Amino acid sequence: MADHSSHDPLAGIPFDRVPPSGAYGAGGAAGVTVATTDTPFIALVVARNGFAASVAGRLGRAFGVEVADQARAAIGAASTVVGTGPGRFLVLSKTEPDLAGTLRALLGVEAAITEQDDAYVTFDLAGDKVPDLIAKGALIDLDPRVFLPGHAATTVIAHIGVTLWRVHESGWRLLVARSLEASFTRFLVASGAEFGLRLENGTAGRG
Amino acid sequence: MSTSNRNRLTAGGLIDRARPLGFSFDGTRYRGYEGDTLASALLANGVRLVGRSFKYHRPRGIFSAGAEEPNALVELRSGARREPNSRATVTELYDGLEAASQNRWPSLAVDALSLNRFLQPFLGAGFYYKTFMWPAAFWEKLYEPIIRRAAGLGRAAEEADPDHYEKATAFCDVLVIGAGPAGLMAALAAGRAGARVILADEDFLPGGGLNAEAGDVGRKPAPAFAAEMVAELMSLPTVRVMTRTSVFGVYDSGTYGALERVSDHLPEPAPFQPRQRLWRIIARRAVLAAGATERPIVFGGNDRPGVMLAGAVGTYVQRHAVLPGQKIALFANNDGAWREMLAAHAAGAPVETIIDVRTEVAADLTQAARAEGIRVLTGAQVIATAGKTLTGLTVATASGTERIAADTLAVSGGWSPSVHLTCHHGGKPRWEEAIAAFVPGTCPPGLSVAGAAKGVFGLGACLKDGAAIGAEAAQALGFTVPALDVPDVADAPFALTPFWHVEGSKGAAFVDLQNDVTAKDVGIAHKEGFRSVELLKRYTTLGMATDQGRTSNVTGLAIMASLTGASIPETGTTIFRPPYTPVSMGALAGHHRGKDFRPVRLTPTHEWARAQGAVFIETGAWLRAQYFPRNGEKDWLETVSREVTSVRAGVGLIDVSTFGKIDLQGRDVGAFLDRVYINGFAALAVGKARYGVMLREDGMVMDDGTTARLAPEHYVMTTTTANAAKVYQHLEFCLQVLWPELDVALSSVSEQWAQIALAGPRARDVLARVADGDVSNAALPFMGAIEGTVMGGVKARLFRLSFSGELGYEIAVPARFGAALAQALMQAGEEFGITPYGIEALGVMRIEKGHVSGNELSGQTTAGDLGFGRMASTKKDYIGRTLAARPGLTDPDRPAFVGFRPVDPSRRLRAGAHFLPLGAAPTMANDQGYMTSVAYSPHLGHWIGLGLITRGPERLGERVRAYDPVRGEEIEVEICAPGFIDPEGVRLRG
Repeated sequence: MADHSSHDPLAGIPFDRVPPSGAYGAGGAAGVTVATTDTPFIALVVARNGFAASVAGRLGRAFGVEVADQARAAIGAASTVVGTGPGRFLVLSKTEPDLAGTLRALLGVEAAITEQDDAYVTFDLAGDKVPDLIAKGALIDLDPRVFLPGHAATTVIAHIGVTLWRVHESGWRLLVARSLEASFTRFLVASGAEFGLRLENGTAGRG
Repeated sequence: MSTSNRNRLTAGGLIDRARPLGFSFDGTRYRGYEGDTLASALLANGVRLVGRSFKYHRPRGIFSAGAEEPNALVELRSGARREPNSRATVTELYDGLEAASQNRWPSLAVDALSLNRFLQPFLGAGFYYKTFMWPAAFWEKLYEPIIRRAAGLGRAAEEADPDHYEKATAFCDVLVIGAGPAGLMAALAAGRAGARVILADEDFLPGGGLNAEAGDVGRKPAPAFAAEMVAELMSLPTVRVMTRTSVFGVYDSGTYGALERVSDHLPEPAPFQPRQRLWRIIARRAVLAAGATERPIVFGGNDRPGVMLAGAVGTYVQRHAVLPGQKIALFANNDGAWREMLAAHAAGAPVETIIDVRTEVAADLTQAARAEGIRVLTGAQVIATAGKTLTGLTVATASGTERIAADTLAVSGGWSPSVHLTCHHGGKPRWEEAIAAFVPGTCPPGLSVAGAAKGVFGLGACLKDGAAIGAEAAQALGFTVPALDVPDVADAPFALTPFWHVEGSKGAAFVDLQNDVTAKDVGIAHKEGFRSVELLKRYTTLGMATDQGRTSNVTGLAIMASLTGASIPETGTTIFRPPYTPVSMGALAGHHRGKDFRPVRLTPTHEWARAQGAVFIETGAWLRAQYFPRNGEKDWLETVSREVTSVRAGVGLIDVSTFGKIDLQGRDVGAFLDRVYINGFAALAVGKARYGVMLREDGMVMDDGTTARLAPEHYVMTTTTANAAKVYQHLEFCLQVLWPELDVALSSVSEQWAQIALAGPRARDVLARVADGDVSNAALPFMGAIEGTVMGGVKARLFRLSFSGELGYEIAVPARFGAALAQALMQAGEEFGITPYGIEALGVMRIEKGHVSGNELSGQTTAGDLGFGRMASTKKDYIGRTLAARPGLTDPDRPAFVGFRPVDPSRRLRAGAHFLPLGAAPTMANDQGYMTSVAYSPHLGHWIGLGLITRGPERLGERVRAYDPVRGEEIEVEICAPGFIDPEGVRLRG
């Protein structure tokens, strides 16, 4: 094997480990910061036949946000509701330890609820270069004039399924399947290195 | 060699004389300037011989000044970055550039294989179809390697490419392809209207023809005008100017492929920059402003270094301030070439002779030429050339032939619009008699063409057309386009007399310089009946390889047309397909190479397994523990046998989180499962799991797994690791399309739950120490499924299932607790000698037990083949039932699932071996099936196998041969029942 270019930001990092926290790529102020966290409570709500609008309405009222049955993220103080498909909503909460139970009580027979607290790793991306970075993997229009705060997409980035939404002007949140955390982080590091990327790896990791 | 830039003009051009750049060609060092291409810098230094031709190893020089270059292909860089077939004409010069000529041996000046020239009579069109026919066996071992050595282009690097490549997607309202006069105006019209515009250009300096234009535009020198336009475009917030970017393909729904050469103009990429970036540009509208390509005239000796397209001569003089030669002649059939030469002459290029095939040429041109002391020969043709690099021409005129001294011959047969991208959806170019060229036919949806690319010649006309087409594209999208002030440029009339081939010329007359296809080869193809342009291309290779016949296509078919007597439009042109220009494999791969070829999924216990010394293996997307070697074990087999023995004697654990896990909720889940599984599920009790088999619609087995009923309206299904996504997709399809009326909500919970299988006679003892509740045989019987907690309050699902044939459980906990569960089980099982085991041991145990797995679920087996025939319900309908009853699928002679043991227990079995009756010849007719899975059974002390053999279950005890021609082995085996261990299932239920 040829020795890797000294420019390879992943040099020396095993492919089956999440790259460690630190600065990658170009020096100076990081063009993109990536912070991974475990969002404490996540549940998937799947509206049963004919209840999509009703479920959206109930979720909106319960969490004090505007929820529509479309690819949007309704961002509240403690909870966020993201449309991931027709009649499908991911609910994220910082404060509801039994989120699934709360939702079952709220929605009754109108929806099927599954716990997804452990299914995802949350990537918070910030910086002006985020759209350029994501454009290296995603096939959706991320132009900040088109993809506005509150817009969401469930799509594929670098062959990895991702649900993402724009939280505010320069903040984006991505949910990635936990088993793919290392591969997805590698994609971010390799693709973000030209902008300078700071990674803060805050997941519990695997014992 | 000189480093003097002796052919460089002292002033003018778009080069920066304050920024000299050192480079080398074939080891000799030279100097060029910023703004040079490798070709312009070589010419400036008097280097005219740059390569040897593909087939005949003839000396070749620089023929063009752009992407159409057929000759000047070089190897760039060295070592791992060596890059063959780089066109010197589009290679931007950088300090330290290393280039080497290719396809020559031992050196460029003396090439032993140029002897091929003397074999030319035998190497003509289709020679390899004729010459190397017999004996056929020699093709692979002898002929092909020889031909490949003798003919060919450059050498690829032998080491892995050290650079990074990437892919990206961009969206825009209007994509403008080409930043020449038409493209710049189109981009400006759309950009000023506020449309999101991407302007892509191959060159490092946008401006196209403006950069080689001698005249003024809008009272400024043309290049300055271009620079101003570019500056304004770059200042517009919605416009993105992408230089060094070739749009190479038009795909569906307004998707365009483009290659950005981010770092090709640097010795190596700047830190953290990719070498190249592959763009997928999704454009609502596109404007093709790719310009036109000049085409040559075919005559004897037209490949000699020094013969060059007239426009290229102009470009080198005007843009690069380089004189391609000291004695320049022109051979043309059109006025444009005259004006090009007059402008070059005015800039200091010594043009001495103009030879035109036409007898009548506009008086203003002939007068202007004569006023400059240029000799004018009309009604004349070049019939031969002389010199290793050009020293002289033989010209035939009405009054006879004469020799003329010249070191450079500019040629022009007219211009062909660059219609390539317009053909990518199957559109056929249309012949336009007035300009004797193909112009775009039906374009891909959303693509319009502007300027020379559609046959609008003349700078003034191109500017106007570009502005109009750009405005139209933006307007079509609803933008209001402000009026655009287009500078007036007076265009001289376009005058051309079609002329393709000097028939009476001497020596080889090349049509396609890159593939060494001569006019004579076109004649051979004609004579042998390969007359359609598509056949002509394949038979002679005319128009193939890196330049895709940019300069040869029209000439080739024009010659064919004259031979057949058909017109050019009747003859037609070959279709242009993507890519328009070569795209490197690295760019197509992007980030996805090496270990990043595809994403890797890690199990929740990955780090824990690593700490246990696991060896990992990629199984589909997952990286799983294959086995856990211990000190002193001599090979994997010893390790795996130890793991199996430990499980069967005590207890072991394995991470099975990779199974697909699908949550199903709703009133109709039972009915739904009845329709997707062959066996019944509606009657499954709460708290129980059941094994099920699913078929595809065509009756073949799709997947197997267990589904548990956790609550009256709540089930959880497991699928095999390999088919997790496929089964989910299948179920979604069933619910969305086939039975939307069913009340079933599907959710994937594969990532939420870590799942660990615990197996062995002591499994319950271990589980009891970890589970918070009762796991006795009464509380959790075989095929039981309960929800509870483990490790003092961690939510869990407990299933009593077994793949190994032992007392077994699968314990699911939220993924973040997976590793903790593994640790807790290890601790709880310490006194029983608990062993972590990998998928090899899992495989051995399932083969011992006779369970089917991926090898048997091959997509070619039916439920009946696999022994599930009696499981299939006859009381209900289910997917695949009808087609599973096809005669071919119910044929009693179909190979069916059984076990195999070697008659000589010391012999090793081989998966993939085919079964033949004893004494039967190894022919397809005697083939009775094949071995699907084998393992060494530590329990039995010999190899065992599973497989599919004709009427297998009826033949227990019979002996057959397992024939393995791949490994050259043949073993006698005995057919047996597939369960090698505990066939009654006592252990499971214990």
